[in-house]
Amino acid sequence: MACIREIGTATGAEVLDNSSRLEELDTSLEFLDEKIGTRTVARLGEGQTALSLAIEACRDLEARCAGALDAVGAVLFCTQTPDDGGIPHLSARLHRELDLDRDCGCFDVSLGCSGFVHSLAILSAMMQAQQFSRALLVTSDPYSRIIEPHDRNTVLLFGDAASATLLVNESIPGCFSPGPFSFCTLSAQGEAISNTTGTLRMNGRGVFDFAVRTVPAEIRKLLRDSGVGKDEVDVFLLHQGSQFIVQQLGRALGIPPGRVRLGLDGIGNTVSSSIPILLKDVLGQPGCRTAILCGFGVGLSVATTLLKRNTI
Amino acid sequence: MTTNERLLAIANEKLDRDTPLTDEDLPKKLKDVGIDSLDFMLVLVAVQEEFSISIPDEKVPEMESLAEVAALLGEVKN
Repeated sequence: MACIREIGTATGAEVLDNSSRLEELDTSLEFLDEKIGTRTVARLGEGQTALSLAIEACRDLEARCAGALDAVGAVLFCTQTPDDGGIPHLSARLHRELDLDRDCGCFDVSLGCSGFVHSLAILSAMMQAQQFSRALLVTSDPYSRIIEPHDRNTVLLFGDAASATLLVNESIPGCFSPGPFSFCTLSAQGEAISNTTGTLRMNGRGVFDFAVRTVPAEIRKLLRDSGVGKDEVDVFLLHQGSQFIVQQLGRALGIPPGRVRLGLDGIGNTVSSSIPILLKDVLGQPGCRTAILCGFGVGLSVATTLLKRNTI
Repeated sequence: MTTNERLLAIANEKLDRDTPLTDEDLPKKLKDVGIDSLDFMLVLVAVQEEFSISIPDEKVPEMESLAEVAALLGEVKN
């Protein structure tokens, strides 16, 4: 069974301070603090790209786990904003930059905020089927490239960051193993988040409506199918769409606020990187033995899984 | 319960305010009674479920007060 060995992260080197342009964006500090969950969002710095952020995340992973990049059998790169049109695919370019083994499979996955959990499912299954010992799950999706700077629906929210998760094909005591997984796609509502002109368009109401109606039901379904009660889950790591949406989802599920993690402050909604950024901290909290991960967004899609620590 | 009473009950339950909204707040602009765009989305989701209706996206920007939501509910019911 696959388990999550360690996670590295990186954030854009620049900071966009939305609190300095409240009037321009027709907003307030109260709205930024209480509803968005951050006054500032991370932005790519000079010379940074989706690939360079991913490399930084991999270096952070290596610093936290010596030898993490040795004998990697597959690299999955989750992004919807690849550099240079995505050819060559970023996983192959990352493979080159990290000087990974020749017999390593590399592929990109195009998913947004549900991307981490979908990718976790893909790599877990692939590792079991192919019997390789290690895989690298990378998320790096700098949405600032496709955001219109005056669109308050998106510019207040999205931040640039990356993550690199090392999966190993063994049950290491104390590490989290994922599964089961559940998936949901409401494609008829997919236009609520779109990019047909090079600019991200988001129907905030459509996304909110989808999230509060669908996500709690998906989490309840997974818990029911897993035979796990919500009170047995130590922590809920939900995609950080906004602080308000995460709080409403926790409320709808009847979960005390402390068990629903928040992590937008200083970075914003980092798309497929938001869950691994939260999870990185939880890995080092042995009191958290069971976690729900739920990503939701572009598609419109939801992917949910249960993490359990392997017994020591 | 009247439509207005049901609407106020939904808004007060969902927004969990220190000072509950009253009849007098219905015609006031949403901003003036402390309801921001995300609060309003939350109320609309609950209204749709309570009244078993679907409020079209194009109607939302036109609604600047809870009274206008109530009026829309009246139209839909009729």
